[in-house]
Amino acid sequence: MTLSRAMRVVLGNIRRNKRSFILSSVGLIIGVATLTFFVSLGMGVQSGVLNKIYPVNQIEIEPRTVGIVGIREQLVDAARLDADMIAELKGLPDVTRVYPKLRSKLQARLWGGKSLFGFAARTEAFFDGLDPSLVQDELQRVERVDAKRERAALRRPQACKRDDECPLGQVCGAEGRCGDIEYWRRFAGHGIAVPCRDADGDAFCPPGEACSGGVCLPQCGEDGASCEPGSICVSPIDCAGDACRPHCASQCAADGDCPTSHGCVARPDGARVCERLACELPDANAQFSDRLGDQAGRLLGRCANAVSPDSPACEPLACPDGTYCAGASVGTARGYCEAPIPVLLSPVLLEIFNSSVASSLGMQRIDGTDAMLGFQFRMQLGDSYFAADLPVEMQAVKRTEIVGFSQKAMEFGVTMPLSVVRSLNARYKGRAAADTFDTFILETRGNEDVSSLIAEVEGWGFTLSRKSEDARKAADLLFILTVVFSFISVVIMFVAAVNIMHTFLTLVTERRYEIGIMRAVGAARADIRKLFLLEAGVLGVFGGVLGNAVAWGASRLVNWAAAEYLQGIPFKPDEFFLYDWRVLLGGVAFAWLFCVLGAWLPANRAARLDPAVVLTT
Amino acid sequence: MIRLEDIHKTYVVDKVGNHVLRGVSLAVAEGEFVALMGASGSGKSTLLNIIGALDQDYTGRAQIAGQEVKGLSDRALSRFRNRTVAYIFQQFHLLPHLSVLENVVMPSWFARSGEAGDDKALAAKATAVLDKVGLRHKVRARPGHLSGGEKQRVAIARALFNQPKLLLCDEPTGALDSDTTLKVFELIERLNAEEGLTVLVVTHERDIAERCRRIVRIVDGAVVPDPGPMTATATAGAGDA
Repeated sequence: MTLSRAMRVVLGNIRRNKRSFILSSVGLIIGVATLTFFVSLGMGVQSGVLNKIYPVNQIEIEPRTVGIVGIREQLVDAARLDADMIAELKGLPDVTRVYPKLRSKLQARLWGGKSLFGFAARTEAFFDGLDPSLVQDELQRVERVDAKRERAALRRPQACKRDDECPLGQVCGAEGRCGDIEYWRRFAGHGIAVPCRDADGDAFCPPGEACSGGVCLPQCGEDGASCEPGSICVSPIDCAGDACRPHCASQCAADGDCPTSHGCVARPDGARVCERLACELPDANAQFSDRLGDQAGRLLGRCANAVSPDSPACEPLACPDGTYCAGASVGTARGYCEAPIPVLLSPVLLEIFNSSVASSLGMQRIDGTDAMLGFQFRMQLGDSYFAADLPVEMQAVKRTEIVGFSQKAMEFGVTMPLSVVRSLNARYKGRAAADTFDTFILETRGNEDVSSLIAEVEGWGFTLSRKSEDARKAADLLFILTVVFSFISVVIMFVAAVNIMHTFLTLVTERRYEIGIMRAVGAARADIRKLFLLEAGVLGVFGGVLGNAVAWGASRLVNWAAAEYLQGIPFKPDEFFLYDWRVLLGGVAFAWLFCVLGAWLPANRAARLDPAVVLTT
Repeated sequence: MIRLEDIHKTYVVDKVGNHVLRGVSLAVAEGEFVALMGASGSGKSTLLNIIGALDQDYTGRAQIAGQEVKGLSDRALSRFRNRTVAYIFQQFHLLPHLSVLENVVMPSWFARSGEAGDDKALAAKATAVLDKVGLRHKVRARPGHLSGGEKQRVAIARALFNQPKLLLCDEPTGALDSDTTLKVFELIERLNAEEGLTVLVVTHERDIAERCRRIVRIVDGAVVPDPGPMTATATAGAGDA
């Protein structure tokens, strides 16, 4: 009997037994729906939540600590957690990249937010630093950069000369047209001007930098061999003595070739290099002004008109767009133009604010992240609510700007580019505080490498960080839950299979004459078996497809309910489910398998019916 | 066409054996029209099932259309039933959910791949066969809407569909009134006469049997000489060709 003929006979049989067909498939539909729903939920939560916090091929490790008479001691000497350790970790067979993380080692206070909250919020500041390349993809995703670019492509760009000529959320680009701000780009190595004392030499500059003219700058030898391509080794102008160490400076032709906080300066030897733009505030207290315009400052040594800077006719210039005049210390009006320090926030922080802080303080909840991007507040380094303040000459006020949200950001604090934290740690706690790291994120080629890697680094005295450990525990719990619900669904399908067996046994009894007639006109046992198993297979596929459809419908309901009733959680995923075609196909295959197994006994019983007995009784 | 040698058949019910056929030997030539007579329970239908390869649980030798049927695989037996023999039952045994046409083409469902032809050819062939039994106009009807005689004619059409060599009729007119019985039997006679089909009819009606060219009487599981006007050519334990 050909398959197409058998299928036509089967479909005819199904048509005349619609009721038993539908009733038999109910259990199956529930079973498949349960299986698909929970496996897809497990996969969705894994990929949509857990993998975003910590991708399965990334683990964060930190030195293991042990308690000795009430004091916790690290098993790995802190001094060893340096660049050499990064190289050693990179040497592990499964590791493709190592990202160090560094916590701040200095006290600081934050304040600001009047425009956002209605009053200036104040808090102790905790921050850490990480490699910007670790979060670039995530920042673009959170900022929905693709959608932003698509929207921008549809509108005609507006000509401009300055940022304030552009609509809100746009800046004046180098080509003289307004364009959307892509905040994620700002989270990059940021050259803040970290003052240093020439008397201390390089002890308070980050590794690779030297104190030159009161500022830490990339160090180089006289030959300039250690400078990057495009940079040359120069000595500070108008400076003499040991403190005037040579440093690397980028070559340029005009201001536009330099970072916004730098200007293109002609040196006595004719070379043109980018140098920090020195500036001056009306007075040191301007650093604390609520009006951001008060910190525009006046550039030193530059005029808007072509006169000598010392001339009374000199028209002052302010710090360029996107920068402000940062005083060298809280008591100093002079400093350098700087862009605000870019910081990332953790979504957890926003969730806590919305769920607890906002209601306690009678503030508006913040819906989404867009409102927060570009928002600036100030940080006073060296000042603290909890610890003793550093001397006033050591304290400095810096602007910070929220440029993104990342699951890898510090949960109760802010996260800066690693280079910034290294500079600040060096400035306030010495070079050693910038040279050693606190944790490392190890990236492996594939998921399967992670377990062996954990065992390896545990032997070195490391352990998984709390966040990484929590992610693994959550993944394990999720896996167990998925297995439990899958098992339940298999039990449901087993019961359905028993029901199907009962239905098919009844069908065999009902169709015994039909089977006898078919046998009499030439049907082989295999033909009869094929008809019943095919009918069961059709039932299985029908139940599987419908079960998948029910699961999909239920998942839409859950997504809708989450969007409707969990609005206070801004970072919940839009989609809790991941519908992989293999899961859907697996659901149908399971249903098919259970149906065929359920019908196996009845089909064989039908095939074994003796036509002589059936047709003559 | 049919050669049976020393056929024994015992039914076992509740561990009690019932020896239904006791060494039946029988020979039927090609194109013969034979009536198989006997009382109820004498073993006529059992013998027909053995000849029709529906029953394999017996001892002795059965050669049908030159083929030893005992010991054939299920696949070979099915093919034998599909191509060589055809059945007509007292209760017609049509499938009520299928149309007349579908009932008639049913044997083609189990033909080997490529042997049956496409749907159009099958329908044309079935219509031709139905035309032969006078039911061309009923191709789309369901068996439930047919009279007893029409149902049996559909059963005959189904039996003829694959052009078998041997037609086995198990009391084909047992469920029909006398007028219809006559018409149906005349149809079977015509098939024998015009198409040379070998026909074996199980009946307990003397007047039907006497229309056959030969009568084989079975008494208590054995073939005995027929006392009627026609002569039995087989005896218990000793068949002839």
